[in-house]
Amino acid sequence: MMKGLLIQQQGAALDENMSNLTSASNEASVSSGNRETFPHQYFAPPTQTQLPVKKKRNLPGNPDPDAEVIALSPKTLMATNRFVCEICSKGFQRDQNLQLHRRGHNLPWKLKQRTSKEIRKKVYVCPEATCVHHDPSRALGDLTGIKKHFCRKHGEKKWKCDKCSKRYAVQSDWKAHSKTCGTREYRCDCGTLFSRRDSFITHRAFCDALAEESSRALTITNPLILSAQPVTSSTMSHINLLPPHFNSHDLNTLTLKREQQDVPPWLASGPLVIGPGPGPPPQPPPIDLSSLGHQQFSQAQDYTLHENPNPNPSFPPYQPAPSPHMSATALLQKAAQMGATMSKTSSDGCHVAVDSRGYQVNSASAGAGDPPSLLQDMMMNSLSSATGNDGLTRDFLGLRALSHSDILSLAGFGDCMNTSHGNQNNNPKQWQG
Amino acid sequence: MDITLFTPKGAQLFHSNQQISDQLDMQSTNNQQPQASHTSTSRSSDSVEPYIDGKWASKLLRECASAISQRDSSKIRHLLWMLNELASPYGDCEQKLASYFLQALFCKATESGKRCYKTLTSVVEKNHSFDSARKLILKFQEVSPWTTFGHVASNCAIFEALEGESKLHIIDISNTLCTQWPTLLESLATRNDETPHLKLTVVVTVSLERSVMKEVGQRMEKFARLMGVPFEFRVVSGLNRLEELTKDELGICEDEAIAVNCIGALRSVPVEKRVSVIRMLQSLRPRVVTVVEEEADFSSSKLDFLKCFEECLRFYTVYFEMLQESFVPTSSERLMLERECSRSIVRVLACDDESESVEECERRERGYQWSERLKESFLPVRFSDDALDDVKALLKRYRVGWELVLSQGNDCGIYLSWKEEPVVWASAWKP
Repeated sequence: MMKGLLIQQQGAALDENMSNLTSASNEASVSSGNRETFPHQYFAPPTQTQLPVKKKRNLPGNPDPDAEVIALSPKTLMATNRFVCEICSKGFQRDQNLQLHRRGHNLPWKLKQRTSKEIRKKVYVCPEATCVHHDPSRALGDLTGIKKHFCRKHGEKKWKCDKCSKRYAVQSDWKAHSKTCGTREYRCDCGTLFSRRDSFITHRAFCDALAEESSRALTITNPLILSAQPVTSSTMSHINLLPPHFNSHDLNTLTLKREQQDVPPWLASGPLVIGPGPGPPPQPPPIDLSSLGHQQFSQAQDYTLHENPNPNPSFPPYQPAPSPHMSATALLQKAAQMGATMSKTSSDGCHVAVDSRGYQVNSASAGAGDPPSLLQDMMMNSLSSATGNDGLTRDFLGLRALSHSDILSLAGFGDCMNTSHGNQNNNPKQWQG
Repeated sequence: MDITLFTPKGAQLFHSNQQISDQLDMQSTNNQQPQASHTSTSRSSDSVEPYIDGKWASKLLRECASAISQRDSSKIRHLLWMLNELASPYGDCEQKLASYFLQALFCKATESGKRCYKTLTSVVEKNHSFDSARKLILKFQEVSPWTTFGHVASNCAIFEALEGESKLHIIDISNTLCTQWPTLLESLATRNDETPHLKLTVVVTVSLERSVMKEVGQRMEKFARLMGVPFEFRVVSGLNRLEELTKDELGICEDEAIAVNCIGALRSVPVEKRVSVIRMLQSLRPRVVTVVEEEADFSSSKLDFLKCFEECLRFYTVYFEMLQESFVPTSSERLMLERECSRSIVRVLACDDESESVEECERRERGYQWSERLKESFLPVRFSDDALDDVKALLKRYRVGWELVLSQGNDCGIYLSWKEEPVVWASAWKP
């Protein structure tokens, strides 16, 4: 247990000072203090049983209230390589990195040691006043994260892909994109393969396969959504028994909104009132469902799609949801895949966003008869059922209450959330005919 | 006239040419040229030498057009006969050009243009379906940036002009069957913090079966749902002419940000009515008007037949060659597009002299000509660097030969050029 705590603390220090040697996943440290404790601990993934008192990592954008808030200037955040080697002029972001580099030149080097007093966790705010992360209550816990966030959201997009003219503010995002640009292939579920994204999108819009799925799903969805029956457990369990393929088609019709915003509208504006009594959601159901369906996809994505252009496992700076970074293309493809796989088998592997064991209904609240409340109730139910499940549970229609903690615990990705397609979220200007 | 047209004569080129040249040699009076039917170095005004290699079609066609404008019946007859022998809609470029222009010249000479045109269009309309139209348009977009160039440029301009607005209304005056819009929908969904509501009103300028646009609308609605864009779709049809379009029919609401998108639409307006149509567009108070037209000047047809003919020949030669190089040889889509050209050619060259002109004329004009008209009501909008980059990136995805050319001097907009010949013009305007 003690070891677990040490790892955590060490991890925090390492993050700040040694990121050329370490990553957020806390690999080997060069600090003299606790070296002997590390090797076997580090490579065993911490689980609940091994480290029962493992400190929970907070949600990104929801910092530890005891943490020290640091506000760095834009200049600092955008600075790269301020520490320069006198011999070879190589630049480093941190002095510690430079020191280690100096060893290679046989120059004297000295690493700063962490002081023995207890480390106070640091969190960072964004200097941009209009940004949601400017407020200390939404500060980010990772220095690299805040730097990347600032560049991506408020910085100039200096890096440009010449194949597709997508723009990036962070060089690593651009590099990662360039590796995959043009190499991707897009498959429509009618079977056609495309090497060009624009033709894929246009094709998809007119593809017969899309038309079919939508019409099929609609016929199944409608009775459910338009049902005027009050929500009861029996109704819910009845719903639960509907064939799983329903979901995929449902999700196909649903709007699959690519996650781009700082805070997804369905989260920020709180369209889903979780509280006593149902009420009509301010937005029409399709959009609500969409975001949830989206969430489903993003969870599936974590298993299957490794299109993460940003391999750096830092916190996604502003996403409360588990990696809703899937691109629109991926959503279209995912919908296609799911349409295909779901109709074939009722239980599938990780690819399937719907987990048939998922939905557990607790008591249903009494709902008014109208459709919006039906939706509300299902969501409220899923909220109550969420806490009891492990991270892999996905509820039936993807209807979830949308609080941050729920989402994360549902996803079970608390710590190692699939990070950013964040780069794609910064208005990549790409026009395709 | 006793000439039968459109008999496909693919394989007998050389044989026919020998016969023809023999005949000509017998007939011509001043002919000093050798009897061989291969290339001759010069052409006297009274003799006509068929050139088998090189651009024989254009030469023959020019001769024929000139004969028509001079009303030299025997020469006309003769040339038409020769062309008929050599032409074929299934042959190479030269043969195709010969075939389709022959048809138009014949109609011109016999003053049967309107009837011919009506026949051609009714045949097409019978076989027109959503599936065939979709297949055709999408395939063309896949192999050539001819249409996608305009789409990308327009989408960029529209997106940038409407940025920040929450209620968008795009008035699409085109026959693209909405193939321009999926990528815009995707951008609206992904590049905004808050997805705006989009209303799309399509004004069709060719006669289409109602079912086609209905199907298009359904697909668009579904796709917009998929993209998460609140969407409304309307079609304005039953319009005989674009100049009859009124503001009321467009269903504009006060709080909407409007964009007008004219792709190949203004050319269907009679020349003298163009200014008033542009003024009508101005009255809609749009944030941006995007105009895309093909770069050719057919406006002089009534006044100067030969000039118009030259221009027509030039433009369609480029177009046919482009089609030839872009599609596979056996492509049925290319054949469809070529046939579409044949109707256009007949319409432009042979449908003027009659008392009632054909419903939709197609007097293309060049970018600089449109610019002059548009400048009376609008100010040009320069395409942003991002837009230009996107267009360049688009062109990279196609075969070699396509280039983006910026306008110079008094023109506005940008040009798509193919083998250094500007072919499509795209522009953006604001009030």
